[in-house]
Amino acid sequence: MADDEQETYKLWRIRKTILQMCHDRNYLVTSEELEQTLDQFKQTYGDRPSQGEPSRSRLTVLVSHNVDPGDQLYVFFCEEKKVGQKNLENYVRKMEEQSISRGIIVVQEGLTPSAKKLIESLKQTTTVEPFIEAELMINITNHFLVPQHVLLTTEEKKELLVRYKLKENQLPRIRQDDPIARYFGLKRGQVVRIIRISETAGRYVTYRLVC
Amino acid sequence: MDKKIQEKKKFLDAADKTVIKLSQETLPEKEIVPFLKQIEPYHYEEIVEERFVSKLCGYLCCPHELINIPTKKYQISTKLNKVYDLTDRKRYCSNECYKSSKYLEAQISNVPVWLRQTADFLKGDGANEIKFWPSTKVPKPKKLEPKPLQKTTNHVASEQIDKNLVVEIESELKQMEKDWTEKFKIQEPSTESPESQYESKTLEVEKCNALNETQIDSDLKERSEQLKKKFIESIDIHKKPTDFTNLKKIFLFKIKKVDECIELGEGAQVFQISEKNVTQLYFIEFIIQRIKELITNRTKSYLKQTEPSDRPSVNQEREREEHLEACDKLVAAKTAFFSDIDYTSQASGFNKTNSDQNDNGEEEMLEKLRGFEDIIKDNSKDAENTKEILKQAEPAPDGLGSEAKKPLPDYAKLKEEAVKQQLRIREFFGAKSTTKKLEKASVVDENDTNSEYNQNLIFKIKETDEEIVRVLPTVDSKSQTQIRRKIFYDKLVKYLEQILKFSEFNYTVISNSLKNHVKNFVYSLKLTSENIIFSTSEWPIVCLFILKL
Repeated sequence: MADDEQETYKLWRIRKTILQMCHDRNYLVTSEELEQTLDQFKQTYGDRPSQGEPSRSRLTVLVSHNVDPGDQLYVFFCEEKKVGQKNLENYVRKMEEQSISRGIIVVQEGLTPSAKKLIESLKQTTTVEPFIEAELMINITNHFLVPQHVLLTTEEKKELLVRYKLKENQLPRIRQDDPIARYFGLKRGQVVRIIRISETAGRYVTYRLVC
Repeated sequence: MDKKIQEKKKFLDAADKTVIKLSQETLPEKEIVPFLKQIEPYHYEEIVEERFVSKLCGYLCCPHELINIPTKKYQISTKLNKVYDLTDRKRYCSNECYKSSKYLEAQISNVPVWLRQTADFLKGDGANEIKFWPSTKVPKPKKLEPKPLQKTTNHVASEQIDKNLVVEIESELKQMEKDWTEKFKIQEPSTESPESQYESKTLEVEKCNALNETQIDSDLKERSEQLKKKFIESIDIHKKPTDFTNLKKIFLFKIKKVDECIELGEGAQVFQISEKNVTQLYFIEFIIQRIKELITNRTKSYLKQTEPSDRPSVNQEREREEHLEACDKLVAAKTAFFSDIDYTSQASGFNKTNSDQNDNGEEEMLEKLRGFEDIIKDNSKDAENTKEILKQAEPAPDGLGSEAKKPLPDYAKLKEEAVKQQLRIREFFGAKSTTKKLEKASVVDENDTNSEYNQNLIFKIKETDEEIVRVLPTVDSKSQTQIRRKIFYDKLVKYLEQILKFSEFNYTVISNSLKNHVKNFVYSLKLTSENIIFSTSEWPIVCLFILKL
């Protein structure tokens, strides 16, 4: 009983973080879903995860982009504790069937090495971003030490480089596997603007190139 | 430079491909060798992990699936005072596979795959042939095998020896089985064909049925005759100067016989049911499986004990043996009788003679029971005591063998010890026994035999406990098994009564001996919470079954 309670809470938190993540990535998420409380979650999905209510596969999310509706994002919740190559291939096949090139896979404990290799090899055609459930229990961007990150469009990036007379490689960098970079699903070559609160300057703006 | 990088990439890709291939397929040992040359140890780990995720046994050549994977991370062995990490062991279906896999892994070269074409490597590491663990034939999960994950890697030497012995015996057993099945196949086409026909659900005309009946009947007779022959043979061997291999053979024979009994029973049951309905066949098979689960080494040794009657004779022992012999006769007669009832077809004359024999046996039994009841009881207890002590000294399957092989634990001495133990226990229970009795009595019907039985049980449990906890009230887990035994026994007796009434036997005459028999039998069973659950329709069949044994 207590386990169910805990599990439901966990699932609710994870799903909430995922929806916020989609929202922050400029995918269309209704405010209703964003502000869903635990009780509402229980009503819509059930409160007994141990009996498959909700099963993780029911939590699957499909969202499309604000600007370009063709750009869709699939979020899978895996039933398996550890996701092997076979399971991953299934998910990828599902994505390919609906010609969706971007997906998030929420795994319970991790991926096997060969599954990771598969993700690496798929990079050209489809992007699959694995997240572990424990990472999604809280939304890291809401933490007070995490400054605001804003992704620049290609035009903005060009403008920036022209304005400061910089080459791309002269920008400071952020790693692609940085937690924030993963949260926003940043790709290599993109630039983020980081806005920090500063005691001396009020606001301090800096830029990072994803590498 | 570019070339080298490309080559490196090529080799790594090949390694990845083998990982994918091996993690999805199970190949025989011969075909695996070339693949193992293409990978490094960390690839091997990946394969094992991937196989674990898709619930396959981690050993490449083992096609078994992983069932009931333990959730715990460590196994604590109270025997050896050690804690084993199970994270690795979880991924294999048996110790055998675990060993084999580790053995293989140790032989995979550490040299990076793209450097394996150099002359140095080919001369050195690469020249090593990959060997497989000697007994790589994965034994089928049998009732003899220890529960998976009960034991992990590092065994104490003695245990390992025991294990080897068990493996040896098992392999021999297998061969025996093969021989037997071959033998039977020559005779059995008649029985098999109707069965298969039944299974394919083509119901036959009654005439055909009758024909089949006679066929199967004759077949069963043949089989039983063969069994008798075997029995005599085994006894003959037993009489010869007891050399260890002989003993082992005997042991095998006996196990075989038990198996045969089961098979016989199976045949009978199948036949009996096939008259009614074909679909119940599966149901029966299920029960048989259940019962097989129940049967432990101890059961076997118990059954074994009832069969042969040619041991060095002390006075008391002879008495007991007579008793056992009589019991044996009785049971044999009764099984024959029952099989006749089951087949109702012919052999009514045979039936009569049987029942005559039965009466004689019963009368004898009664006399004996009256005369030596106490002695017999003591004896049977003693026997069990000695058995237990032997068991603690030696692994289960060698119970008899060790006794004959080593003159060290003298039987008489053991008996004395047992008696002493009992005395001590009685002293201890002198104070508490009344309360205990009351407790038990309140729970159970106030039946004489029952309370006796309870006391017996308590004593028995005490004996088993005494090695660990000197003298203390029954431990929870133990008492649970006690309760289970009780339930099982009660139910058995109840249904036995019904069945015996049905078969117009004079129940009360043989009930004592029978109860005694059943009680001992129940002792020897390994009862778990799931094991003892049978539905009402299942019970009679179980009873029939046990009678047959």
